[in-house]
Amino acid sequence: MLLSEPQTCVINPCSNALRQARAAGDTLVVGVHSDAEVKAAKGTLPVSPEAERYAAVAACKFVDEVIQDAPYTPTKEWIDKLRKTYAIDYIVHGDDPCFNPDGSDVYAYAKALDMFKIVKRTEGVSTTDIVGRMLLMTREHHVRSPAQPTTGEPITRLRSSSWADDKQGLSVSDRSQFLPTARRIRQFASDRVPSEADKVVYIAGAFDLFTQGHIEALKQAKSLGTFLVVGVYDDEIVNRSRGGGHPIMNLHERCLSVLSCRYADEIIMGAPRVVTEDLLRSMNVSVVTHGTVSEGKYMQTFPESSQEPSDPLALAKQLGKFKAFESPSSLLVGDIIARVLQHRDALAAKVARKTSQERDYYDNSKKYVSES
Amino acid sequence: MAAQGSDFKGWIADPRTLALSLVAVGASASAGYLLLERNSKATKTVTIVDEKSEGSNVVQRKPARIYMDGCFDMFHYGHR
Repeated sequence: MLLSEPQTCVINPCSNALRQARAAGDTLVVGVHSDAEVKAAKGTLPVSPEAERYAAVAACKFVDEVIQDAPYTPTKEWIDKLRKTYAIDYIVHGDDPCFNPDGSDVYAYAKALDMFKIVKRTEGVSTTDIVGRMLLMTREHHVRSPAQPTTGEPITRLRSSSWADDKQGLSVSDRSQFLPTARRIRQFASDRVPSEADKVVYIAGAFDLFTQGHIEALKQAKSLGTFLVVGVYDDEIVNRSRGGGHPIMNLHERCLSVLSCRYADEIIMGAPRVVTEDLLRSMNVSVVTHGTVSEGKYMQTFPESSQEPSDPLALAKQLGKFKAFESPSSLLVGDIIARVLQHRDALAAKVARKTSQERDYYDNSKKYVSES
Repeated sequence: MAAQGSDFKGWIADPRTLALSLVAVGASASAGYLLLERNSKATKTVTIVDEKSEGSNVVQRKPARIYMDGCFDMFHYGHR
């Protein structure tokens, strides 16, 4: 068994680790393990099936090529194949050690060939925290519905740590925090600005848990023009629409997910619900679009905002700029949460274990590692 | 681990001093820079301009192909 190190992660696979790997060279080839391979190695199936995982990695703008069904353990044979068939120069891995069952280094052969490099272990939203956010929300739902935040009141988020504390008797502060630095935003952002000739498309949404449905929607939206601006609603708008603990991912996390998608050229962080003339003009928008599948009620009037137009896209429609597209995927955030809940017991145990591991990591092991 | 981190930093072209730009497909690599030429499939070259040095100090190398693997699931991120 390979040593299982505590991992922090961002929920979107198109993450900082891939960005760093891409920055380490010129072409990034990503090997994605099949469901069977993961099951064999870890004992449990992944939450997302392989087809979705392959597509998600391929949609990441830092990724150039995807190898499906890559072996879990990089054997000598596989490394030789990577060199000869895929013309790989370097194998990149996070700065956590990986050992074979006999205690030998998984990457010993690659290191001997001088083709192994490490990237900084990704600081992000911890898996533990995300699972906890989902489980907590559900638990709240069963016990009592949390009061809907009213306009103007700060949104309180129930943290996974409190869930873990309550459930497992652990006392862990929520320390694996995502730090939305300006540098990180800049690294994920595109330098491209729309030219006069560009046909700018605008689409707005929550993009919570950045699903395959979101990726396909952005692809559709991009196909209506040449430059895609994605409006990402702030947490309050999403919460007013969906209630409960939504969104699972906060504004900064959702923005980075959208930015890592190859179809998004620009985002508006905290987009207005109503598409205004000012927005259309300042972004030079030609087409405002929306998929037919959406789980938010953003297109309806909120009771507390009756002064807003009943249809937030009214102006775009009036100007003849609105164009709906048939949603290619009906995968919703609710589906992802349902999957998680199917594995609830297994994940609860994992959360407890990982919380403990992460606590140990943050207490004893975490050091500053410079990243690329 | 810290030592490996600093090695790695030295290995990558430092973005603060080097501007990377892709040049014509099909051009041959004239000089290896940082990387060994073991990429038999590569047809592109990468030009590295050292903006700190005087005059035209341009070297070319073949582009590096990087491999990273993982499960890329929300709960198996990074694997192992």
